[in-house]
Amino acid sequence: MNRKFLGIIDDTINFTDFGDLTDYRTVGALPFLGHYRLIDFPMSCFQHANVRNVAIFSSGKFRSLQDHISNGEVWDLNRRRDGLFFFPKMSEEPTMMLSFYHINDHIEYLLRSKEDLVLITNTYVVSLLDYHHLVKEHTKKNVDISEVYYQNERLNIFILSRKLLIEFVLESIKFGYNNMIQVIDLSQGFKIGKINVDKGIYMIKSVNDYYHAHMRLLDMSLFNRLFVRNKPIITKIHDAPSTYYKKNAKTMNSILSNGIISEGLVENSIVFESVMIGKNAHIKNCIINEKCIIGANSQLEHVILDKECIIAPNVCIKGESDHPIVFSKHMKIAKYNL
Amino acid sequence: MNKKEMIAMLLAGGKGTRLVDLTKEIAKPAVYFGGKYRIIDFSLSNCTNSGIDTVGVLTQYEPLVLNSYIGNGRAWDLDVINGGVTVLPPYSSGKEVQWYSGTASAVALNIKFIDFYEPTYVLVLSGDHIYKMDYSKMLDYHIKNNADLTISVIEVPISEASRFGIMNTFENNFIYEFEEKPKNPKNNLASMGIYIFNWPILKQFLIEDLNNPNSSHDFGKNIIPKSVESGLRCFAYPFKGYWKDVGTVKSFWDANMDLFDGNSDLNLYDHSWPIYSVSQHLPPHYIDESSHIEEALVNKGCMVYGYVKKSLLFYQVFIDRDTIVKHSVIMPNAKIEKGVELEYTIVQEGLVVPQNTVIKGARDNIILVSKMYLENLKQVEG
Repeated sequence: MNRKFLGIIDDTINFTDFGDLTDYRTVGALPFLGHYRLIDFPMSCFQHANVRNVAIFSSGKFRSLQDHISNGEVWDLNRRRDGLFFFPKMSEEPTMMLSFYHINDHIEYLLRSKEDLVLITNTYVVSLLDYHHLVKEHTKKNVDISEVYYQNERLNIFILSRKLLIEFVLESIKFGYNNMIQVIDLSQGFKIGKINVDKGIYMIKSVNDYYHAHMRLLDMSLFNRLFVRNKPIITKIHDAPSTYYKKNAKTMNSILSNGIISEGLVENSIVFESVMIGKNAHIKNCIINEKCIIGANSQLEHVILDKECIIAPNVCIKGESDHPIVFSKHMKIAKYNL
Repeated sequence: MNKKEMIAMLLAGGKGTRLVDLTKEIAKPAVYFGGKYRIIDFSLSNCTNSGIDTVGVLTQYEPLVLNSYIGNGRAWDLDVINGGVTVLPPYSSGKEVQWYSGTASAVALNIKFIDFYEPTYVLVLSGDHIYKMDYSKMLDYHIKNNADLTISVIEVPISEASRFGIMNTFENNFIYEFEEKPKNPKNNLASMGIYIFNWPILKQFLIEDLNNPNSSHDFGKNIIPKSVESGLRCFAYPFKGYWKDVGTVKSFWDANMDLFDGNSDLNLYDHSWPIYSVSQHLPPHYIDESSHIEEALVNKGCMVYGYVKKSLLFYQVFIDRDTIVKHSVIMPNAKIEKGVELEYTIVQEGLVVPQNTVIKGARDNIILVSKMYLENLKQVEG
């Protein structure tokens, strides 16, 4: 039996350093590591903690996110009772974080829920956090609000009682605070606790974060901390066949998903589902998203290709480790000049 | 409204004795194939892709794995309110339990299930064949011919025709004679074990056959010959494309190797006819610098540090450093430890092949590495 806490996922945070990658999707819908989306991480952590009542607050370009999470079935959230709630907001304005106004639009949800506690998390922190443990820490500390930190950095993950959250939301105008950070930083009279977590945290706030998190995860000692046998990261079902390494393909220190056909050389790279890599193509230190096609003899280094890009044969593109070159969705590149 | 135009009855009770340890604890349709599938995925996916949403799966031999694999049919989109997939094991009725003594009696004992959907046509399938086929086209053909029975056939070399059930046909594909394993075949159209019947006719034949103590209650041996002899309108539906009934360890290995380039026209990368399967929640696979991997099929959760050539790795296979894996099929969750050499082998699910083990078969001697095989190997060495 578990009625202790419900989950809120904040997918409203809008970082400006993602360039084209978030032009048509929210941070939660960013593709990650072969076949995941960033939201899979908090969703899976809730599944591991047996949480069956989760609300996602998203804003802006949420179509891709909504398509990905569907009815939450794969995370066991297609329940008769509770389950998954999706509370999007049509908004073009960048948001700092989930506002109490946004929650107020759906306050009925919080009023109807039965859980005593709420764990608020977000989509830009990639981790395999044990939410049960965090809630236990919170209860032990006898504080009003707990905030989770990683190496003195705020993760924007909070635990508080449902009642207190409802109070904040309903009386936000009176208090003058509009989100959790404001409450913690500006309010007085609430006991705030800190919970520190270590290891296996990747904060994805920019293209560079995105790129370097991928590159770091090529280290299997780090990878194995995020992918543990009995706590799988769960994502939408895909039906791609096996990845096929053809004759003369060469692959070194790389992470690859299913459905790929490779005839080229892949080195220190992450390749997503159903990518086609042509003969003698050379991919080095790259992130190649779903369904891209890399022409024969092309060379890519320090490049991020978003979904379904097509690189013609004999194209050479080289970025730098600190400045990977990003191509947005559906780009067709026949010639490239720096 | 339950009424359906056509429902499928999928025969999945086969033991597949010649597959030895591959089917020691699971039915043949549940055997793994092609890196991420079980054989039954092909016929179930064909049903879904053909627009058939009601499938009865007849199970008997070792049904546990198959039952839990099929579940509510979600993986094949067969979890619909009216219809979907229903697993039909033998059951007791009145005073007795009736086992499925043959393919025909298995269907006959589930007449009530079929009648529930009041189908005009019934499609009878085997769950242990590997192929892609649009059954809706076969039904169109059946209707166009005003047929009572349509049998899907494939051309086989005339030299091999004596191994199959052969249809002798007129030019319009009307079947005037059926010969089971003829010594002197007159034709090379072999039955694929895929039949469309008009349900009222099949129902009558099944009841008569069930009450005939001399019958072996088999479609191939009894129902089909009788249908042809009775002067029904039986037509052959010529199928072109990849079709394989994996009967032996060697043909199972061959079918897997067929997935490599140019070996067959079974294209699993065709998005218009996806083969669905129950998906595992596993991370992508990792290929280390120390590895060499060429002409290989690899799946989720694998980690490869060794030399792999002309081989299939199912999901979550671990291949350690200093290993050589050639011409082999490695089933899910197997672990190949340091110094191991495998050639022409099939390694079963979840096995750990311990350090420095060398197992070398040959093209005509595929070695099935089972738990028992490894234990025997240890004793011999011990």
